This record gives sequence, structure tokens and C-alpha cells, in this order.
Amino acid sequence: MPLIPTFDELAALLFCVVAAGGLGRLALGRGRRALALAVGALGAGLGAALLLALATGPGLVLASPADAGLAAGLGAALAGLGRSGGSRRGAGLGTLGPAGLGAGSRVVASERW
Amino acid sequence: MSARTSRRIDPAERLALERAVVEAREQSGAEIRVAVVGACDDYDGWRWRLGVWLAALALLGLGAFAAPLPLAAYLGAQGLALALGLALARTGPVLRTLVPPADLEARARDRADRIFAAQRDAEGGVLVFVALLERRVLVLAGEAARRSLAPGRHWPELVAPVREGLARDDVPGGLRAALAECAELLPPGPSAPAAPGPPRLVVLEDGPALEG
Repeated sequence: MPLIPTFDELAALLFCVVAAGGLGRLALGRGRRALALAVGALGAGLGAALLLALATGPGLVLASPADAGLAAGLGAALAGLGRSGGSRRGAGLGTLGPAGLGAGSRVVASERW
Repeated sequence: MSARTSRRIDPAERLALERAVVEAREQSGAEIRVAVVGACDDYDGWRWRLGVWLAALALLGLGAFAAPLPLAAYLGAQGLALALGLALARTGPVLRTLVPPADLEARARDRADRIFAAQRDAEGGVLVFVALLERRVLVLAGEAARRSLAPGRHWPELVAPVREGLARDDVPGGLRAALAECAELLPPGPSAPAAPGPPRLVVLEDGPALEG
């Protein structure tokens, strides 16, 4: 790989950053749950396919539909994995959690600064 | 802006804050306390998630843009990316970007409720709670304290002075102003008996080790 990137490589890098940002946004819980997951999985799959196409250079676009499917699957899996889990210290040990705050919470005022 | 309470409130300011709490308790009759918490959770899941994403990105980037490398290089790059993600997520601004606002709110409420529940007279108690990492100011009040709220006054009035103090990076000053408001919001009455003070009028906790 030459030290000075070509226009195609720069474009691929930019696309990679944008795709990673989109994936990250989806994975980190922003958006509207199921719809975001479905659209994000599709977008991530297409993004991964396009990324591979760009990265392999002109003339070496995805070799077969199977490659495209693999890329799309990878993107969907990443998006799905990213949506799961999260930190809930004390979960199961009496943590109140968002659902349990309404009745028991004594909060009378709350503000973000 | 540091999320460590020890960097935001020095011992002298803590003493001044405790005096302000005592005065507010004497004037209002309510069991008022103040709590400043650096971070309400360690948010480990989110830190690891960022690390894993960066590691995956490093692997993808190397595979796509770099010449074929030995396996050790790929593993090393992933390890570095993982460590970078974990380190980045130790800073408050990055963590606040990662964690959804609803989760930050829930953690702050959870922590505040736990501290409030530890009060001796929770029914007549009022807690002014500041979560530095989560950037939340909460006011909690027991049933008796709610009933003794002065007519025409509202609990969010206690939040405003704290916010102003936080805006000028003066947490103790903002809290003292809020405590002064307490006396006006909660006039002494039979529903809010003055109870002997618990040993900790001002609760200061750093929480898990976080920066910024």
C-alpha cells in the first residue's frame, strides 16, 4: 500500500468513519428501538458491503452475491450485538431501575445541567 | 469540570456547607441533607462496548487498508484499540456521549433514592442531590416535607440556585444558596418536626474512578 493514499482510499476511509459513526450511534442506544434496529441492520449491512467494495479497489468489487450477503449479515450481527447489554450495577440486588421509580421514588424535582 | 467531589469541594467548603445545612434545618424544621456524588454507576458495560467497537474497527481497518500483517499485529492492534476505548470511556464527556440520557437519569435517581432512604426521618426529610458525572440535580422529599411546602412555592425552585452554582463551577456556593431557599420553601410546622441531626449532613462520594 503506498504511503500517500489515493482518492479512492481516502473516500473509503471517510466512508469507514461515517459507517462506524452510524453503527456506533445505533449500537449505543439512540433511536427508536425496533425500527432503528431494522433500519440500522439494513444500513449497516449495505454499509459493510459498500465498504468492502471500496476497500478492495476498482474492479475488485464484491466477488459474488454470497460476499454481499456475508457483509450484510456481518453488519446486521454487529448492529444487533451492539443493541444488547449495558451496565446496570446492582441489577437484581434491589436496584430500583427506571420502571420502579414512579411509585417509590421521592424525587420531587430533577434537572439536567 | 472534574467529576470527583474531592476536587470540587475542599474540607473548608464542606464545613461551611454543613453549617448551612444546620441553619436550614433549624429554620425550616425539616431534616435537610445534601449529597454530592461523583458518578452514580461505573458504567462498565458501556466502557467495554466502546472498547469492543474500536477493536472491531481496528481489525476492519487493518484488513481493508493495510498490507497483510502477521497475526500478532492484528491481535496487538485490537488490544490497543480495546485499551483506548476503555481509557476514553473513563472521561466524563465521552461517557456522557455513550450512555443514553434516560440511563443517566435512572442511575442518578437510583443513587439519590438510596441515599435518601438512609435518612433517619425520611418522611420529613429533604435531600438536595447533585450527580456530577450525570450532570443531574435532584431534590427528594418525604411525605411530611411535601405537605409542609409553603403555598405557591415549588420544589424546582431549589434546583435553580444549584444549577447557577454549577454553571460558575461553584458547587458549594450553589448548594448553600439552595439551602437558604429551603427555609422559605419549608416554614416550620407540626408536620415537619425538627429531628436531631444524623452524623452525615453532607454526603460526598466520588463513586467509581472517573475523570472529567
